Amino acid sequence: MQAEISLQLLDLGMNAVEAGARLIRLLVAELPRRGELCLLLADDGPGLPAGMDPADPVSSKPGRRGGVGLGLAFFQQLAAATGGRCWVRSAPGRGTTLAARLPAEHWDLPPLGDLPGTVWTLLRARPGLDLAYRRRRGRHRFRFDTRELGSEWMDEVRRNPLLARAVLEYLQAAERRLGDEAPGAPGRGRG
Amino acid sequence: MKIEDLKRLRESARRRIEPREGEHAVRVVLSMSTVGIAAGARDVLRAVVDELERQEIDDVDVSLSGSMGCDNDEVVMRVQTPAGEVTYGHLDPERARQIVQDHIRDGRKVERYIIARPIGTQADTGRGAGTPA
Repeated sequence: MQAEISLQLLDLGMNAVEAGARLIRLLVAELPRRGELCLLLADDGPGLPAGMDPADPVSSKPGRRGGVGLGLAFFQQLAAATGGRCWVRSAPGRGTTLAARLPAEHWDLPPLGDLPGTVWTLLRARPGLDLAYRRRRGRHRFRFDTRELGSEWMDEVRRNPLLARAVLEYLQAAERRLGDEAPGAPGRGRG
Repeated sequence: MKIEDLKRLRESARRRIEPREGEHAVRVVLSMSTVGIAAGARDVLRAVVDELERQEIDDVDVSLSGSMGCDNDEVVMRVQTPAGEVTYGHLDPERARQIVQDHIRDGRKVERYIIARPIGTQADTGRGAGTPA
């Protein structure tokens, strides 16, 4: 359904925001030596709805509130299609953690897509939301953590187009530098 | 640009918006549901913010929401102004830029992309001419 991995991460992140998460952690790591793409999305929200089976989120979704668990199902489908692995941990009131290790060069692995745009969108999702983003390609890495900038910082980004644009350009530049600094990085048209 | 540069930029940007803080004349709400995201809501959001910045319009509150119940019409964006509220659908970045220019900047609604208006207003269920059947 969603060709880019970054769109799937955005969908899952927005689900967490809607569920009431105040902090989202996102890790996207390309590890060429291991031939792996590692993803982690964790939130401090209420956790998966009681009765929802992480292994079968669509069929087991209880009640009528919220979505039907498609985001999680799509993500699991991605892991299955590429022969990768996917884990979901969730506890009531203690948030949800979703992690995946995917074979980086698998034919069916979609491109990462626009990660800076995805992170930037999540940053704007709700006043007071904190986002801890870590990005890695090989030994090159950067991070962007709104907690380092002050809790009200992103609220201003939400209100001020000038600042919003600056943050997006910052994330895009960091992503480009990652590519420049990592000769021989997988050229799958990601980022 | 480094984190320090972002912090410095924040100070200058803050001065620019302080006089109007809390008094946004226009509110834009963009649906960022699963369907909306798949239909391109992320790129529409970028276009809206980019166009606001290009037009030097800084008294608009741009918010995100979950599904507005209009999956068939995604990407969906609600624009609230002192003159009223309308919901636009089937948006792409180019159409969103046009809405910023015509509706938010000039006060002229872009009729062909409107999918809903509040009940009781003119053509409250009107679908725009640009809406696919």
